[in-house]
Amino acid sequence: MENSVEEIFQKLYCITAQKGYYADFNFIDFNALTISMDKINTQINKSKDKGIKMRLWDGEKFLEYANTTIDYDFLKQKILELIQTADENQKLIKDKSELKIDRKNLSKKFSSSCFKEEINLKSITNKLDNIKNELLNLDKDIVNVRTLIRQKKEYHIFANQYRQMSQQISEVLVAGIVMLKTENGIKTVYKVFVDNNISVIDKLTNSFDELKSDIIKMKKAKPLENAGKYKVILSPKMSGLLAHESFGHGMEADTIIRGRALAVEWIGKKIANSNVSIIDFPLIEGKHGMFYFDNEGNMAEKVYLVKNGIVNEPISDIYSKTKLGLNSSSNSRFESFDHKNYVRMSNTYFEKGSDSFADMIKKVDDGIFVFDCAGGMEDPKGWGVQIQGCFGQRIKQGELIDEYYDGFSLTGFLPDIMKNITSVSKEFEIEGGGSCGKGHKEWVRVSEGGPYLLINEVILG
Amino acid sequence: MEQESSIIDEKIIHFYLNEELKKENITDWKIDYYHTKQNNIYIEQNFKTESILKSERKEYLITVYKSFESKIGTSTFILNDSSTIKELKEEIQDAVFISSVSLSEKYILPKVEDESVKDDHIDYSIFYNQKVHDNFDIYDFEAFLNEKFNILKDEIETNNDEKVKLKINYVEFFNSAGFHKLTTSSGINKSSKNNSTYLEFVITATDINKNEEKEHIIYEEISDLLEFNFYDFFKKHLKYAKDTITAQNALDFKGPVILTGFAGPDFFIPTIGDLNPFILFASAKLKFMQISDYQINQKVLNTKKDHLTIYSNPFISKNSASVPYDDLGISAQKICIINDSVFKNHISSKQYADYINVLPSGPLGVIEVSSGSKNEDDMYNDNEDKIEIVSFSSFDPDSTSGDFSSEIRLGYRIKNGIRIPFKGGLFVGNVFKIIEEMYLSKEQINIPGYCGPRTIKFNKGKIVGL
Repeated sequence: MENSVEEIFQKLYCITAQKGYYADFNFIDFNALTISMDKINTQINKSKDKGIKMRLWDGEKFLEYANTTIDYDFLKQKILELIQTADENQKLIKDKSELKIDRKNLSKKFSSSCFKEEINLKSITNKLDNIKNELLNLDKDIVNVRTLIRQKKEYHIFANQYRQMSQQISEVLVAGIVMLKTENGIKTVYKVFVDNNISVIDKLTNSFDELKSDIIKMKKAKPLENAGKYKVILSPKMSGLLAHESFGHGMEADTIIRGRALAVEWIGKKIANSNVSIIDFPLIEGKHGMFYFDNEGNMAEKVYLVKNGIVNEPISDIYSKTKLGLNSSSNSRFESFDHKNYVRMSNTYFEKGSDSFADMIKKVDDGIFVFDCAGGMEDPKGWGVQIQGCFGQRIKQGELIDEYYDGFSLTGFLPDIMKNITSVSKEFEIEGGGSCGKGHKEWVRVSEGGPYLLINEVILG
Repeated sequence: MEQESSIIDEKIIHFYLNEELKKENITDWKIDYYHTKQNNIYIEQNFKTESILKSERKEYLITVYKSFESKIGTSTFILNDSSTIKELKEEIQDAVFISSVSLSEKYILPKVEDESVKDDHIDYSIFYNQKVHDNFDIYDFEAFLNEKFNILKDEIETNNDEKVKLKINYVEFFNSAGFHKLTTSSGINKSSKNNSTYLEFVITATDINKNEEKEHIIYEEISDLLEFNFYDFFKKHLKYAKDTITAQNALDFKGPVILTGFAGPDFFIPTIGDLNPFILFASAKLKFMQISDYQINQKVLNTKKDHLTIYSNPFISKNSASVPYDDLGISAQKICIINDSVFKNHISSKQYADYINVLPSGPLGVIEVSSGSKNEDDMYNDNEDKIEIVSFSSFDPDSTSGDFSSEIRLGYRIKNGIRIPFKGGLFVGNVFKIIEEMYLSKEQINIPGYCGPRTIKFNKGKIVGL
């Protein structure tokens, strides 16, 4: 490139500002190296996603253009086309509105501490191979295992007439997945860890005992015979999923604008006991939902979705802030440069409490400790909870007993579940992380985790 | 000689890859070139446009191979139309190293003279709509959508009454046109075009007396935009939306469960993830991994009522799951996967075909399921209480065990001939077991990815209520 991306953006936003239009610009250069091995194959893949998006506000809507071509003359032509369209639209716009933009000038560069770390292919491949062989030996009924390490590096530049920002984020994800033959067919147990450096692979190495224990549990697991209401303890992973999937999606302001969020009726109202708070916070180093600023140049900040049991303000982007008169939040994200910005969560979790996990178990006379699942689905309109493919252990008379269930779902009406949270643990972890979609698309990386939760009543089936 | 800062093109990529071939650093290569355009329109409440996003991607997915005596190494990397020769050279060097450590059991890459690569039998025009594709840059999708909105607004007015009001919460209308070119070092050179439309919207029904709202969500992939019947589509979904307002909570139920609407095809091609496991087990890869124990000419599905006959058909005209060749250039063919519940053929890439010693099948196409023994009317016309499910939040059976537990977005309890709508609850079971007592309708439906019975009846279904 003759001009750097920053220089190109600077020239372009000068053009749009001169014409009196707000415009913003994003450049993404995403690279990932994945090493994956199972019994049969070793695969090393590199993936890449690189391009820019320009967005212009015509007074009523965004006009956006995204491309892999990074050339000033080409992009200038495109921004002039957007301006021309915006000019033509002025005759048709009835209610022109000005975006609620933060006009504070900011010029910042951020970089994850391990961004320059490179994977030594030979040594990591050997290490993964050793882990794979150890996993294969964990149990005679294992039909296949997969070990995986993925190093992602994301370079992001944002610019508008007030801000010029850049961030370099790195992340390393490791996974050990075991497929085993059981009486009820092929089942899977796994461990996933995320951090910003390669030493996270040691966590996988140190998890063999846990995996072995999970294998034994899975082999014993049977379908939950009686669907119905249960007292449950949710693991950190499960409490993270509840915070994110079941609650958080309803607090995304663009969902509220679309008239699809029941949460709007609860803002300012009590939904849970005072020991319950839910937070969204992007700036947790090494966690899967981490970033320094969002795709609209807003600096990462902690937002309470629920504070001491009271439903707080939703997370938002420029469009929804403008329409709903909300305060700032740093939650405008897109899946890739050629996708629209949406209001998205990052690291969303219940704030840790003061009770102990061991004490929670003792409080349960008959219930289930739900410690894993396949995933969940949001229902912001109905606030129904749908968490599927759950894996759990029976609790009887205050003790975990040798009885396991899998393949069941956790469901119910979210406010009912929230008001039934009686204990929140001091033990807290955010490990692993997956992708979150809006419906069945628009995937962004988020983390899952939090404290253990004791809930008096949920529906399992 | 081009400068290192020069932007790459196909010719330059060929040159540098062939240099590595000459040095015997690699033994084969392939290039997938993708050129994709999108035109996306985002509408919020009251049909107000929130954003219009146009985009274009030009990317090269480059794979190098290195054959050894009993192993083959591969490495893939991506470049785009802004990448330089310097970047290309660096990536090739990395790929040369990676292909010496990223190893699989050996398989033979296809060559241009192979029978399986020949494509005289393929009409490439069936895979896309020429009018939309070739005029994509100038096609006025906004005007098209506004025209359809007028139909929708009229239908909303028709459906609104003093008890129930309907409105649209949002619409997302995505159109794409793609071009793909595959070239390999062995001389394979194929290209294809495709286009598709994705429509997502939410209708909210309000009970005016109770001031209560319920929503009905639609995700629809449309293969042929110009042939799609928007009128019938809107009419059907407005009716579903209206029914959600009177929908009760699901109750426990054991007995006949009928899947129709969205839910019927979902059973065979789940909305998220892979295929239904009993089709997925036809994969040669799963056979090789000993996850599937399917044996050719053995009965693999324990169906006692209607038996299953399933094809992979990549030639259904303008169906977005129809494709002319796979990722190595093996030509598409119609394959019988299961015939009368007896397993007939694997779906296999060249790699796994070599591993289990079968012929490669070419790409997976549209899942085509043969009609069953009953008319839809016959499925309903008995005195038994039954459940009808028209849509799930997501039907996602476990890909290895076949267990499922899927939330019902809209269903009907049919009792004494009266249909009572309900929402929520879970349809639970195992795909391998539930098909033991299954009937398929004679009436068929043709949608992206699926061509088969519109309605499925399971005699022994189970619903877990709220």
